[in-house]
Amino acid sequence: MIECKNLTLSYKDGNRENLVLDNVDMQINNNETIVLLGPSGSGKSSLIYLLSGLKNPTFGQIMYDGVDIEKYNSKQFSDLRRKKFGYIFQQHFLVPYLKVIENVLVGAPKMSNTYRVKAQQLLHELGIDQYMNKRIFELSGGERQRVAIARALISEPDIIFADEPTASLDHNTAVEILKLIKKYKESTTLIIATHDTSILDGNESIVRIEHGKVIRDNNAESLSTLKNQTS
Amino acid sequence: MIYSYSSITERQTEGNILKPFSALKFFKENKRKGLMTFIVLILSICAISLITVMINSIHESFDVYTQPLTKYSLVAGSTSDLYLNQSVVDKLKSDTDIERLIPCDTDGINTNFSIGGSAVVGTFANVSNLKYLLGKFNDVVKEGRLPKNNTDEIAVHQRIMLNKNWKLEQIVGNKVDSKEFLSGSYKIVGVLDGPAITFVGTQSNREKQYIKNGLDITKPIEYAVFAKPGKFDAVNKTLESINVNDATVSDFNTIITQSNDSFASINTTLIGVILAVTIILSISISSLMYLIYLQRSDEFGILLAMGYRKSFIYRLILKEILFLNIISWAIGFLLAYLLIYLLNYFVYNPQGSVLNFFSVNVFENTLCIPIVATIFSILPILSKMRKQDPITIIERRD
Ligand SMILES: Nc1ncnc2c1ncn2[C@@H]1O[C@H](COP(=O)(O)OP(=O)(O)OP(=O)(O)O)[C@@H](O)[C@H]1O
Ligand SMILES: [Mg+2]
Repeated sequence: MIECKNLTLSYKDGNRENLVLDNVDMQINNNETIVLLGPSGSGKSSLIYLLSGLKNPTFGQIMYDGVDIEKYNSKQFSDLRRKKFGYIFQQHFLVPYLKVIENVLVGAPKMSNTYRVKAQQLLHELGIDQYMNKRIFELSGGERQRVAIARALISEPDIIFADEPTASLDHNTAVEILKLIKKYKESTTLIIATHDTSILDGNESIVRIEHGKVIRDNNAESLSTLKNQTS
Repeated sequence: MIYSYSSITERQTEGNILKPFSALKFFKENKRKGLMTFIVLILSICAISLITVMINSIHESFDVYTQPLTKYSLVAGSTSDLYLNQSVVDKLKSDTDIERLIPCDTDGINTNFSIGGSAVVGTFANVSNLKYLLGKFNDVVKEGRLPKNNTDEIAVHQRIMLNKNWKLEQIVGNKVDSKEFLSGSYKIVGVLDGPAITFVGTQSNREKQYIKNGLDITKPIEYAVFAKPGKFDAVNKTLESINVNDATVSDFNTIITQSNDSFASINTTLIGVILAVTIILSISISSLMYLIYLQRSDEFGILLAMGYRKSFIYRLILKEILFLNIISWAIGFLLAYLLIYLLNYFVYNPQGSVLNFFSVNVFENTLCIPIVATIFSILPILSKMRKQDPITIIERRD
């Protein structure tokens, strides 16, 4: 479970304060899928960075399973990110000089045969095991994003943070990729930021960010109204 | 999570892919990026090795030239005198530290050992004294025989023979070859072998001139002085105290002091060259490396985001650069060895000389390049990395 209290983030813009997140209180339960929606510049990425500990808030508290992340030292927090979190970004950020399977193994918390076998299985299930020993530049955009997904999944993370994972893909590929991510989420919390509501299937909890405030609604109707609004 | 697919075979994952990151991986997969550094390092290490070997060889040829002087010392009459000063003779004869005084004459053969050319000193004395002298030198007659008393015969060390391309029974000297340092003409009747590179005869050209002019040759012209065991330095001290107007002394110390100045300047030049090469090289390699690692910001950013520790990345970078340097060093070193081997085989060995590759200073002089280059490369990269956090890299806000 992730919780945040009074989470505030502001940037100094000259002598003006740019308040990106304003006293956000939120609770995300285990195995929940959260979709962060909001216009460009509303603070979706910022919230993901804060919740995943990649950025420090100006003010406020973040807790994993009831423990304040301030309590972790840097080594413990690195360990937490390496073992319990999975990251998928808009860009794949794969290591260009490593083979596909090696890139997947980069996400493993440690190197062992078990993870090697797991990497192969993931690539198979994501439909790209034929590229296992290829370099990244030999793959298409969608294939690269699948490799990035396999890399995020190999450690069987408790929480997956995905910041616009499908933004660089066409609609059909995007829907497919999202399905793949969700397929692995039986025991995983998924926090996903996106512009594109058309790829959602209604089983997600929607969190809207507007003017630094977070509005959360759990019913599917709001998604359909939202879909109607945007399309 | 349930994995339905478990029949994946080992065959599908050839090679060692257990560790995605290793010291050799980056430059192995990005050969062109490391190539420039690699080549520059190899060439400079090879060049420094060669220079050091050449300079060592000058030192060695000096050692060859002075080797007999570690066994005996020479006292000759001063240049204007026909004979040794009687007071000097008396002084030497009464010195109890001296084991044997051999009346003799000396001359030289100009050789071209290694890089530094030098004249090798030879001794003319009667056969029984020559036997004693060669015994002290640990030299033996390898082929032919010793010269007979009162003849124009000499026995020459085999390395001189090789160097000069002389054959047994050949007549040598400046009478037959004007470029030869050895005055007169002699017939080679024996070949010597052993640690002292020298030659011996029974009657020098000067002694022949004395006889021709009716001068007495029973009076000593020059002495080869052999000290009693353990008294070598004491005897040399006594010899050095002789007034230069009375006699000309050649011993190990005087030769060394004469040559030290020129060796000192050679050594300073060598150190200067190595320093200059190392620094210029390190700065250029450092900037090349900085560019290469700047291009890898994405890679390091994502690793940091995923929970890799900075120390892991620092170590990875250090290992990569260190390995590149060590491998270049090893190849440069081998290349230099190969070149020296070829030089020896085709040029030096046929002359009876040899370039010695393995010496501590070749090692030291070349090793400072990879060490300094690694340090110069790693520091700016690490200081850049220290300031970076994963978000600025991922969002590209630099
Ligand atoms: N390092 C920074 N310095 C100054 N302002 C920043 C910084 N990072 C983000 N911001 C500002 O914070 C606000 C939120 O940015 P964020 O990237 O979180 O938005 P977003 O919802 O992810 O937008 P998008 O949909 O375009 O990705 C923006 O107004 C942005 O300009
Ligand atoms: Mg964003």
